[in-house]
Amino acid sequence: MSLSKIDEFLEEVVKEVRFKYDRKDIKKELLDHIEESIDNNINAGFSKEEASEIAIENMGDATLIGKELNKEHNIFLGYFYILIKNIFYFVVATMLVIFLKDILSLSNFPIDKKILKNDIVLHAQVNEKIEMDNRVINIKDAYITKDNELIIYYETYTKNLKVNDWSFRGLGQEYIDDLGNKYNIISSSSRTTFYKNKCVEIIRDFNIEAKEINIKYDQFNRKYEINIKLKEGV
Amino acid sequence: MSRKKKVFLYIGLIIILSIIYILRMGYKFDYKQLMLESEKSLHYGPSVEMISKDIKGGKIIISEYDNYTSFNRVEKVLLFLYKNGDGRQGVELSKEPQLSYVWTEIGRSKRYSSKRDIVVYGRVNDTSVKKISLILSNGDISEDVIIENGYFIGIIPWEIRKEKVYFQNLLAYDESGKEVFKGVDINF
Repeated sequence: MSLSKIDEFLEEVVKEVRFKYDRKDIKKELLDHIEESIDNNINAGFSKEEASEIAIENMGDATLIGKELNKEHNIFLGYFYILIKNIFYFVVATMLVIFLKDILSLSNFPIDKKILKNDIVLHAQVNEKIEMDNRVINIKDAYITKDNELIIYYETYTKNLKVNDWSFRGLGQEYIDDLGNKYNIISSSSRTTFYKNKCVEIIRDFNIEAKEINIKYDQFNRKYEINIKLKEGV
Repeated sequence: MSRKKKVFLYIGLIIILSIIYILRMGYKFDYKQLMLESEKSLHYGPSVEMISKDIKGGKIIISEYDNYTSFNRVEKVLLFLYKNGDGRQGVELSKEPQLSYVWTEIGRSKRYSSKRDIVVYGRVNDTSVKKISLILSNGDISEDVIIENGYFIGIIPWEIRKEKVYFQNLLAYDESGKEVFKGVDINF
């Protein structure tokens, strides 16, 4: 029996299998069986032609085998499996993009505004934590520079590690120094990672005679007050 | 592993990953909980929902906290979940005239931010007001306004305005259809 007869047999079997994506694997498995059987028959003393014929005969009726295999390789389960597998890959890819973005957001640190040591007139290492609702505001440092700028660095994050909260709107509504001068925030900026905001607030034309700044937050029934004492040097 | 087992395994993994995704994106099943959490992160509230209206792609909620009124838009995502949209907190609406109101223009969603609906909302201080109509800048009148719990919301959707039509004024009527209030004309 020629190779094309084996192919014919295999084709007859798989044409009964409705889930076409499994046909290749079924063919391969059956071919392995047939080849093994042919080898055994040759070892038993048959010619190659006879060995092939016996192997095919021993396999049985191709249509019957195909019908049995069709039951095993259920078309609905087969397509559902492909669908669910592709959904899984899509979900994994989406998650990877999100987590990659989260990881890349970490490179947003540190914040742009940097101060040269020589420009610092007064400094306060504050390290004061304030809690408001779920947010923790950690005021890190405050500097007064030669350019009469008061620069305050702080970080915010939420206690429950929620990642989609709104950004913090600013340290306070009222900024007064110990000489009674009132100030407005001229600029503020923040860098956001998926769990933490690093922020800076700048007041221009700050009176460098002042040694303290008092910040008051009083909005929508939330209140706090911070007093930052500034000292000479870094 | 059999195909059936593999299907169950994939379904299980998809469910686990979907939960992580929903938590990461901050989506919620309950829009009220979403609104309260959003307000909390803005250090405002908790407010009480006074009136809400379904709009294309989400919902608009007007709520009250202390003397303030807030406006929240939540966007519908993945069929049955909600995510944060635009909002305005801390609006002080007067209790004096028959109607005190504000209007705002909002992008429909982050994806369709250029499609801007106009939302008019406010307090109904006069209980005799039963119907409100919005006058548009092209002279048309919109009656897509609902009144509930002493508040009202009216929408001029993007499909109507297409950037050329604005909110110009509003009229309020009593039960008999008599005009009891007319706002101030806004000219563009």
